[in-house]
Amino acid sequence: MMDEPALISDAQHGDLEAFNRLVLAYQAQVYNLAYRIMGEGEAAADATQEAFISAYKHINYYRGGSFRAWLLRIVTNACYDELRRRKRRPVASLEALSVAPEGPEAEAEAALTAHEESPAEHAERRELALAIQGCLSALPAEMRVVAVLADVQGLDYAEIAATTGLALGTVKSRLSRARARLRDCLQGARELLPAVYRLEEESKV
Amino acid sequence: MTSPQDFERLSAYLDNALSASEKARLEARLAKEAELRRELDDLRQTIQALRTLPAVKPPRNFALPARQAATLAQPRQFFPALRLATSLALLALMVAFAGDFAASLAPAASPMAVSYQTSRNAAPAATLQPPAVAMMPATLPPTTLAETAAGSGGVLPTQAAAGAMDYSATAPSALPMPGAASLSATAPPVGQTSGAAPVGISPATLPAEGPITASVLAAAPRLTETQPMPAGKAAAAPATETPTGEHNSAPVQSTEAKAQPPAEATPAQAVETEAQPPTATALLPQNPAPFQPPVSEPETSLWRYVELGLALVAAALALATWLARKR
Repeated sequence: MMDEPALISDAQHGDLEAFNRLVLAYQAQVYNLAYRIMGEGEAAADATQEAFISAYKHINYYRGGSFRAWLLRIVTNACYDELRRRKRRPVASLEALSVAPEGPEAEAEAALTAHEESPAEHAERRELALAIQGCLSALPAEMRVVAVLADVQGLDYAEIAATTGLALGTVKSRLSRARARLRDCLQGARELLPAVYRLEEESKV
Repeated sequence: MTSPQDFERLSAYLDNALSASEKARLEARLAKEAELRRELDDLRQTIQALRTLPAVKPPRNFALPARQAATLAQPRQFFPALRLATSLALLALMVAFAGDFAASLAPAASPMAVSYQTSRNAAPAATLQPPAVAMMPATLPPTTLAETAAGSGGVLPTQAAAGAMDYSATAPSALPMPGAASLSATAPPVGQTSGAAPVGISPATLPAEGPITASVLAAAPRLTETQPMPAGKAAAAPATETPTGEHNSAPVQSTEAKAQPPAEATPAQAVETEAQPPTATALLPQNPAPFQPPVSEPETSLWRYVELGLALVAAALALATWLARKR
């Protein structure tokens, strides 16, 4: 396990190697958050790159607290910037959101899922992932961020508050509204996903 | 359908984020309300579905190459230095202001400075109304008086220290007196010595010796007639109209020539001399002080230059800092 405070301190004193060790430690999580917010890999990679550049430039503004939350906040803001840019180019936005992850991303995604599943299970799981991502992408951005942080990344309320700059009560209510919408959205897709819901029926017992 | 509040409770319940009492209350309701239980199950499924989302592998390594980092690091190093320089410049500017302020105050505290504001008024007024000096309330606007008195030449600062403060307050009250005009007329010649500089204290010493003033008073009208300046004009701006109005340039000769009326007022000779120029000349050597106030003039302008310079430096640094920060 790395000595995070020491690496941060070294990075703050201009040690690029220390900073890059932090990048390696967090890039998967940062990229995943960007991926779930943006809905596709190209924009997520851009936002991740932008976030680490910004983190490097502003490393001296980091003043303790959760370094992960600090990084996630930076990448969240990078995503907001990108989403705003896309709003000005709506055609590109629609394309980006409707196109399913293919090519390297889809493969990468597949590589990280369970290896011992049948091709059919794999296909179902992939379908479910697409449906969920579609529902996430249908949320307003500020709800999407909270839902991804809580239910995809597994952060607790305090860390979500630190990442988003929201009050705890706001995190709680916004997350509940996001979940209500996701439930409605996923129930519409339920017929598409019998296998997965069967899985969950089992896990519930 | 559950209310948004209930849904929020269920949501927090699944995150184990309810307080103990809230949790107990909700669990009691869940035991009774089937609809709430179904709602909870739906929500739990939704969250579990989200958790099945696979992690995606970053398509590349996002570590910063040294070359890129170098271009990014530069402003990062400049910024703190610029920020420090900016605050130092601002600090220096504040010190300069404080110094300037103190410089303008310090003389005021010392005899000379008091004369700047007060003795100018006090001098003529005191001579006019020696008995009333102590008691008269300062009711009149001091501004006009100050102008008339501005000319009353520079004299003994030390003595001014003693009396100037008091007389300044009382002086205005003397203004309405008919003698005021004539006195102001007499003042200009004296004023020439010091110009606009804060001087003219010798009259202030006069009031200290009440009796003397009578003789001076007598001398005043005489003087007015002799002086080229019309009394009314003199009251408006004696210092500026007089040729020696260029403060610092000619105080020395002019004081010798004309500072006498007030100078002669010094306690020792006041009674006999009665504002006679010749005697005053004799006294002059005793009054080297008047030449000092003019010195403060270049000092104040120096302060102005320092302040202006520092303000420009601070502004430039602040701009540079802002630019460094921005990029």
